[in-house]
Amino acid sequence: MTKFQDEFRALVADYLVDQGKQPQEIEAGDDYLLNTQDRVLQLRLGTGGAMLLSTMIFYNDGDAEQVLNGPIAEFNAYHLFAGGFCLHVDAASGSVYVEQELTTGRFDAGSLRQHLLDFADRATSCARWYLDQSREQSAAGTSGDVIIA
Amino acid sequence: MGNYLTDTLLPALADDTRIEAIAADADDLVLQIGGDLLRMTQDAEHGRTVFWTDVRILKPGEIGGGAATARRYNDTRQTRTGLTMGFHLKGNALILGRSVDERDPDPERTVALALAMRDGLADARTLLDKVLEETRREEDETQRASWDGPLMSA
Repeated sequence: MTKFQDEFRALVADYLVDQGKQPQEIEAGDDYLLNTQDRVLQLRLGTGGAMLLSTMIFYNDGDAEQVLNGPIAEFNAYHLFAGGFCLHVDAASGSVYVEQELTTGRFDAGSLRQHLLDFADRATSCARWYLDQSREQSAAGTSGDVIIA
Repeated sequence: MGNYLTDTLLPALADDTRIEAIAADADDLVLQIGGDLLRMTQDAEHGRTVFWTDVRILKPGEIGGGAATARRYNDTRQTRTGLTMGFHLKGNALILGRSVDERDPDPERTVALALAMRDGLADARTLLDKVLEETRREEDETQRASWDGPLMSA
């Protein structure tokens, strides 16, 4: 087990104990699903001391909706400089996820709890933004690509 | 409070032989590595540091292909490289970068992140060329199909 794995598992265990879990109930792993504000967040070990936090913001039922490549690419450029939030499209389903890379060493149980709450709020804002974009694109009758006049 | 990038990191990296040139540009730091210019910007509000560079400035007809490239890059390569591709509508710039959750990365970490980004840039440009070529081919085929209809029925 690496040092980063140790740090990650210890941080998640502290967080779960802080949430009322008994230490013996906690299973060690590199990938956790955590319920925060009625939203399922995935927290997993990244590389070099990083961890990745993500959640789905748009469920695409069997790839039924055309994904908005243009607005997503713009979102990703803007948020690279504003928190490092990134939108991903799942290749199989076309569902959209928001993800943020974090440094494990910057968190303790309390700050992780607060960050998960903030991230869940942020994900809701992202979902609202994506739906608004989707409606605008439908109203304009475009395919979702950026149109330059 | 001083600017960590320009006040501390710039002098610390000035003599680093892995970097061809380094300069301050307002609050940003610009590094030249392997002939490419890479930038560092502070995301002070979130306590993060951003490494980024232009993949290419796109022509108006390439915007859709650029956005498709960004999606494909982020879906297939981001897990491995940690880099994100995005599109700045203002300036038509397709950019590649990484926001690290570190307020003040030390010189060694900075060089490691900059070198990793430099390594990812060639692959990103190759992918852009490939997707733009695919987009052009699809557009040509669509145009041909739209011409074929009336001619065949005439």
